[in-house]
Amino acid sequence: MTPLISIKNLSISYKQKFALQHVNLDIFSGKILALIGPSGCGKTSLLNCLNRMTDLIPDCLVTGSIQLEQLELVNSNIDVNQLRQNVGMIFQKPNPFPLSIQENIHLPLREHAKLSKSEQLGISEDLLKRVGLWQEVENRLTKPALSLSGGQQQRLCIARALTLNPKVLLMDEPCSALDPLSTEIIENLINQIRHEITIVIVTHNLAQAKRLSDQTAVFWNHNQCGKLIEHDQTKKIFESPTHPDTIAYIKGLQG
Amino acid sequence: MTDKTLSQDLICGFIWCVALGITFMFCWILFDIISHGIPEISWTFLTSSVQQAGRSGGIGPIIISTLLILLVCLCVSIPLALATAILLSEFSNSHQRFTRLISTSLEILAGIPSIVFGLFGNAFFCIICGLGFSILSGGLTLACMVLPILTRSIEIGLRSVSDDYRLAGAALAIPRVKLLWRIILPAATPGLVAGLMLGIGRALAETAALIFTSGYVDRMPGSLLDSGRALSIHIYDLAMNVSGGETNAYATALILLVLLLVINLVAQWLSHRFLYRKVQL
Ligand SMILES: Nc1ncnc2c1ncn2[C@@H]1O[C@H](COP(=O)(O)OP(=O)(O)OP(=O)(O)O)[C@@H](O)[C@H]1O
Ligand SMILES: [Mg+2]
Repeated sequence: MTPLISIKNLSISYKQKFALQHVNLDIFSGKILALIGPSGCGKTSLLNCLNRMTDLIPDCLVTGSIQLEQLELVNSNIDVNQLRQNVGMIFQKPNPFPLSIQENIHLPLREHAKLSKSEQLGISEDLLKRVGLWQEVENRLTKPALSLSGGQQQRLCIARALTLNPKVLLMDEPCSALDPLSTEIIENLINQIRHEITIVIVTHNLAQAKRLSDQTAVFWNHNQCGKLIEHDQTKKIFESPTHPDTIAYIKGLQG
Repeated sequence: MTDKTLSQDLICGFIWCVALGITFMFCWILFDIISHGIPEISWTFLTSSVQQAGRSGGIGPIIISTLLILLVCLCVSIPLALATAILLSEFSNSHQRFTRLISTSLEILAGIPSIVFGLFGNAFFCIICGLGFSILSGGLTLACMVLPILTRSIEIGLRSVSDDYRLAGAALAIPRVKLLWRIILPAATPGLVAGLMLGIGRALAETAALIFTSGYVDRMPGSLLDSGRALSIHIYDLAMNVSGGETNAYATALILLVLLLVINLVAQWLSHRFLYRKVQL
């Protein structure tokens, strides 16, 4: 099977200091890939390369190659906005715009397609239903999005990202600011969309990685520089890891 | 134990004293101006022309001149300051030499005494540009003077808007200009208005920069190329050079305060109407 995204010998450095080195990783279409590992080993940095958010960080240098369906992403002269429409992103901290709930959906929608008001309303209703938010916000669509709870805000952000119909969704610890109930709702949501969209999710919650993902990649810090130490089917990583650091890290799941 | 609470009480008391002192000083100034100024205020005082160097008559032409000078100043400085602030906070990073150069220039400009701006304005706008002593010269000089404060405070206002919105916008492929217009500027409105008021306050209070540029002719200006006397200069003149002018100086000072208040309210209203309403914070 040919991978949707293929990462070859990728290194990322900030101000000449490497954050991640020599990563080789394939991401397959329609699968969920979990990135796990201790803090500071470059998971977020890797995610940021996949939709070129690294462009926004001064002094961030990326080398190597990332191919998304034959399109070279690293340092290439591509239409970044086009890329970001195909590769959506959910942040650790829910970050809806300071607009009304429905305008959060309509703003990106209008930006990328010419739609009438009623079409916009129809699409936002669909999306809010998909993320299971519709019943909760049906009567307050014009109220500020910032008045929602954290979990609701995060689901709104997912709905907002889905407006662009991305092929890939990058999620950076999407549940780390949420309580277990909201986390469960988001996990159910991920399970619902997993067949239509390729997901790369960073998580510190090993149980979550185990529950959700098809593949898992384990990152580790060697000499203050992130390395990919092991990647395989999630089942394999959790049942019979080979790398000693992975074994120690997975043990945390039982301990 | 008691020692600790005692010292806490002392510090607390001291802070209260300072706060009360400041409030008292403000109220005293206000009371002084209002009590001396209010008997003179009438519709004729506001509209009629200056007589006997200001001892009698009103301040009609002076109010008009002041407003015109302010208008010229703001029409020039607001777009420049806004553009510079947007460039500094949104479209460049603080490591670039170019950005640092602009920032440093602005800081130096902000530190220059206003009398120097007056002399510069006189040499450049009045003489070299041939505008003479005029409202235009005065307004342009003031624009140079308020540019640094205006730019700095607008920049701070923009920077105080959470980066989360910029990240979210970028990830959703929303063009930066669109994001700026739809989210960042509206969310920064309170900061922008505060900066604007700081700039207007400084412009209205200015005498030194205006004496050499807009001059002190107290007739009604016929065009922007006429000389016109600003309120602050009128107050200065009445208080220092005209014997028996104190009461009218007070009355003019009161008008200046009211003008500041009115401008503040108008700025609040306008910004709310056209910018702040676009976001729901
Ligand atoms: N903008 C930046 N400028 C400089 N260094 C950075 C920047 N972002 C990340 N780094 C460095 O790169 C390394 C990797 O950071 P990254 O955020 O990718 O880690 P992470 O695996 O996502 O960690 P966490 O699990 O805590 O989110 C860290 O050492 C960090 O200090
Ligand atoms: Mg991270």
